[in-house]
Amino acid sequence: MEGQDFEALYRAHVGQVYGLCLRLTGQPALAEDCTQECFIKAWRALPGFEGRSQMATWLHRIAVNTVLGLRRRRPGDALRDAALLDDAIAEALPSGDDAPGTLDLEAALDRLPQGARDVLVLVGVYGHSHEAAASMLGIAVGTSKAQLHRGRRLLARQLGIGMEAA
Amino acid sequence: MTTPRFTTIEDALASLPRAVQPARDLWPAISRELAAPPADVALAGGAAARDTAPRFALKSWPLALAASLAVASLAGALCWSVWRERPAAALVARTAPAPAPVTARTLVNFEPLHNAEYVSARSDLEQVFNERLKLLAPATRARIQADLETIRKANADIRAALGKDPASPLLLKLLQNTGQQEIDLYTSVAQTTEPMLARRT
Repeated sequence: MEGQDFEALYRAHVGQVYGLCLRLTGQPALAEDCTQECFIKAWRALPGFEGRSQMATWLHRIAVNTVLGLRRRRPGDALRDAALLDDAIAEALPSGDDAPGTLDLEAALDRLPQGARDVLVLVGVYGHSHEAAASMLGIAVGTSKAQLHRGRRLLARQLGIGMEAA
Repeated sequence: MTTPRFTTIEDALASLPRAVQPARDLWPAISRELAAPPADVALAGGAAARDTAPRFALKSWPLALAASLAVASLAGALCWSVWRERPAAALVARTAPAPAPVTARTLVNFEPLHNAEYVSARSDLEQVFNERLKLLAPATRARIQADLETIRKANADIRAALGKDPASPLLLKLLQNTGQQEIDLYTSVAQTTEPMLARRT
């Protein structure tokens, strides 16, 4: 893959990768660091590609791996700043969007416990299977399902949505 | 805090944008990192990175890899051939004063054409190599020169491939390897001929 091809790949996927990193880290600066590191890792790992999954899934896997590595290296950065997250999301919203509702939802998502939030983001927002999410996070599939249930329950409570409807 | 427009959690999550653009363009910083030779070209993402994705045609790799393999195999054979030559003392007379003993060198071959220190060190070592080469038997000398030519050809091939893909970490690593192998060859010949010089003085 030529350098310009990889830039095209970056342009096509940076939004999703950054969005994922932002929701997992809660801090735009950390999300930018993780996004950069993710694409650098991806470039260096290109020879190991085997073509068994989609590019987006492969990049998400590297992004999650990068975020988990960051959490291990810098546990003090686990503190999240919901206001910064809201600002970053607000900038990304197209004009005319119902920003308050989306921001409330992002804030509610951000307030979830880390384990539940990780699974809810990967499965609920980005549509990965429990098997894929569990593999990315290094947890059991059963744990992923339990965390999703917990996350949905907590989110429903915050948003005022009945669990029966959820 | 409530958001009445959502009736289910699935609706709520589905409303979130998957893509969020960063506030600044991250590509310039990424491209700078990609252009730099990596300290470790192992798969940085570990098992995750190895997992999967579309297969890409890396057009310049087969040539470079073949060249690298050829160089790697000849390097081993070369060291053996040089060391086998040591007992054969049918040498021509020394043509120059004995320079200082040559110690093994590891020269970083990153952008050597623009690195004055590298160019100077390599030039000195190459001069010693050329002088010491004359101490060896003609057949051995011819074999070493052929091996050196192969290394240089591999280096040129990799440079040509880099011309098409200048940011390739693998090609940069291969270039570094072939450059170091050339230096290793010079050093090996110089070190191997040290005892010959000592016997003749």
